Amino acid sequence: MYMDLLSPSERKTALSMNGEKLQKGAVLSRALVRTTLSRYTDCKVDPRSFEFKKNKFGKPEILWQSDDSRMEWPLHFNISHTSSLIACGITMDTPIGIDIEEKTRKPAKNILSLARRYFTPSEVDYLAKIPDPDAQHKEFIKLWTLKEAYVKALGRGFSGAPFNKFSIVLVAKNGIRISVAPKVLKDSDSSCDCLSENWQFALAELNSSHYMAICIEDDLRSSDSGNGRLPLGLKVWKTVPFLEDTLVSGSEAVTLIS
Amino acid sequence: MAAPPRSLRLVSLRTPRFRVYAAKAETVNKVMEIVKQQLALGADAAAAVTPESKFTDLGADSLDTVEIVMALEEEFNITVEEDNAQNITTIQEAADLIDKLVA
Repeated sequence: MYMDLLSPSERKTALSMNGEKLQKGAVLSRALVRTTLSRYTDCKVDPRSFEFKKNKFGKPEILWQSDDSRMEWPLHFNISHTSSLIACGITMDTPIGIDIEEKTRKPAKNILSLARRYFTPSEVDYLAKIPDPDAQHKEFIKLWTLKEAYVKALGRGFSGAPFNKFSIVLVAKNGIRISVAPKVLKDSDSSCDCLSENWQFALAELNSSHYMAICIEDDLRSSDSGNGRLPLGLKVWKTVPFLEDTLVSGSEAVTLIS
Repeated sequence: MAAPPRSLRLVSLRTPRFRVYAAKAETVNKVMEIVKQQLALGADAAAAVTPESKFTDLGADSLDTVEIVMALEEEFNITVEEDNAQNITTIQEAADLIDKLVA
């Protein structure tokens, strides 16, 4: 039972969701995080044993007890859900943000109004120039997931990295770049909450139904993307905790967009 | 029940020790309607919504939340800054903020 893996407070949170479907989703999400993290410790840490804390902005992190007999693994994780899919991203040594969205997710508001309210002027221009409404809608979702992934990777919350203070630029063939408004970068106060640009992105289509965006901190050693490796050294598994685990990156289930 | 006097309303927003329902019932109801519509809640789910309901417990993700904020801005003719938006986690909190901004 997945419920058995959860901590009492996770159970309480899951049960406070409105309706059975949301409750099951919450339980599954915690089960996925715990079982996946456990496997990345070579199963030396039981899924039940993990403890979590939130950083000062509310981003969940692993809390390792300072107990000499146990190793610590420099694992970072981030989760995203839609009504039909939950994604958990794991890295070693580097902060990660992940966001997934159904391709067909139709915002109630008009795309350009949403963009004008929340995105940067250059992103609004990019979207406004797309004549086909379907294509425009898809680009909006892609930009949304990429921006979300960055904010989640940074771990400072929505107000710590306002969407209209950084632009994501999709460059044909190999490039997703982030560009931060110059005023923010030039702040020479070293303790300032500057938005940084040293982040790498990957964008993929999953099962033709979802867009997935991943953002990790740029490791300068691997910033050369010319050698044919998957961006970011990314691998994707389709998982049902304890029941199924299939490597799907490299198959049609995962189509890299950039 | 009569609405509390204006000065009490502002005090109640700053003292977390006790709750006085500062927002007008009408504001709370409008917010609830907007939220239920944005999240397309079925009858059962909609019936379970209370002013204390957290948006995330209702299944709202970040895109839902910004759309809810936009809808509230349009409905009440206000602008919600990012740091305020981040602190609105329940219907009641949204209604409290709206009444503060509209006042």
